[in-house]
Amino acid sequence: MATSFSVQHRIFYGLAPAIDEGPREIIKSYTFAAAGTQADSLTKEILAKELSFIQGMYFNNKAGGGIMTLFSRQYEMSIEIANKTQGFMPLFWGNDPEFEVTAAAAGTIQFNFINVPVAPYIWTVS
Amino acid sequence: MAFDPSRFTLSAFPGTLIGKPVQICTTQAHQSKTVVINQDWANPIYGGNPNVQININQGTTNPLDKIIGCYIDNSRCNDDIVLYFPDTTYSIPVPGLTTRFAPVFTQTGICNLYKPLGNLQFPDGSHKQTQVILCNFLTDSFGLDSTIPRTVDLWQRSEGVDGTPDLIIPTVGDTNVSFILTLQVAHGGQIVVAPAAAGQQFIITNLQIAIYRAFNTASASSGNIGLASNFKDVPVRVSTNLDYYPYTILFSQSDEYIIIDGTIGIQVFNNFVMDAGNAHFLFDYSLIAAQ
Repeated sequence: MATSFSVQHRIFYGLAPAIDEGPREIIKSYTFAAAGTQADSLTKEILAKELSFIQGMYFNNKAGGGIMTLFSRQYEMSIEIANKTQGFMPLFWGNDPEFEVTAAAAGTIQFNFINVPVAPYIWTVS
Repeated sequence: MAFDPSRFTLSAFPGTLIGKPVQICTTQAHQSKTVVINQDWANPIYGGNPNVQININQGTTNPLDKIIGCYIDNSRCNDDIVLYFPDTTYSIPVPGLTTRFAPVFTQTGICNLYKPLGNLQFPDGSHKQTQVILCNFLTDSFGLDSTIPRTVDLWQRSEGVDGTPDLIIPTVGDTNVSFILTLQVAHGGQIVVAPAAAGQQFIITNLQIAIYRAFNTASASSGNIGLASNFKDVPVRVSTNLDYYPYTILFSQSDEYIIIDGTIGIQVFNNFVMDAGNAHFLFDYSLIAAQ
């Protein structure tokens, strides 16, 4: 269970637009005091018309204390994110994304969920 | 060289496959979909033949119209696997404990999933698993580095380990122990091999159990001998049914690791009574501290 999490909405520019809306993102941050799992959803944000769907993400686990896992139960895609890494990942999600964030240890991870597809890429932050 | 599948037989994948509409790369003229295949390598339905053929056009609800890309999650299996497309002989090897995205070259909906080497289970009996997600949209080619530190989930740990998972880096054992143990214990008896202080664990990367010059004068001549964890559990056990052992390797493992919580012991049980004999255990192990 995350001790706190935050959410922001932003419109950004520079990437290819999606079908009928500009590139947008939803930023979520999860802080864990110990190992645990936090269930969450983007349904509320999507219903608020901030964006229509999720196709990818940027993640930042550079402040994390351990490995984080992002798991979509409906679409069965699991992505394990090593400590002290950032990167981009495509997400095979539908339009009702519910997911779980699991931390192996205390730490904070940030996800920028975006409505444009991205190529997978990960780099390590020292 | 391309992967050679000729030395393997195949079973039909037994699960139900469902095509799931997803949003990535969906356009007005194209609905992106994925089919998720969760392969349990130790599924008893395979009858000892874990290599499977997957046909997305048979028994599939809402199947893909074509296969163009895939995501393979082999992080719950520490052996290399291969996804093979027979019409083009295109193969995608994926190392153990890694995941990767890959584009696919095929004209059909048929692919084969092979695990050429290694056991089907982890030492604690949990099943190795690999997930394949086939896509009708193009994915990039990208593999996650296998050298990143991994968590050891509870399912990978010996049953005697309590508490939450710890973050450890599996290391090659820095201590090698080879010793001879004379077993003169009765049913249920344990012998301490390596004592540990409170909170300490051992990670064993290589293990061989052998018995030699042993004979059994008891009426019951079958039973088990195993590696005991802190007098609580026996995560590694082997069955024996011989009355005399000239030199018999009962158990050998070098491609996996075992975590023992606390003192390492050896236990005999289930009517396995040895009046005299020698057991030969080989260990590569490191002492680690529980976090």
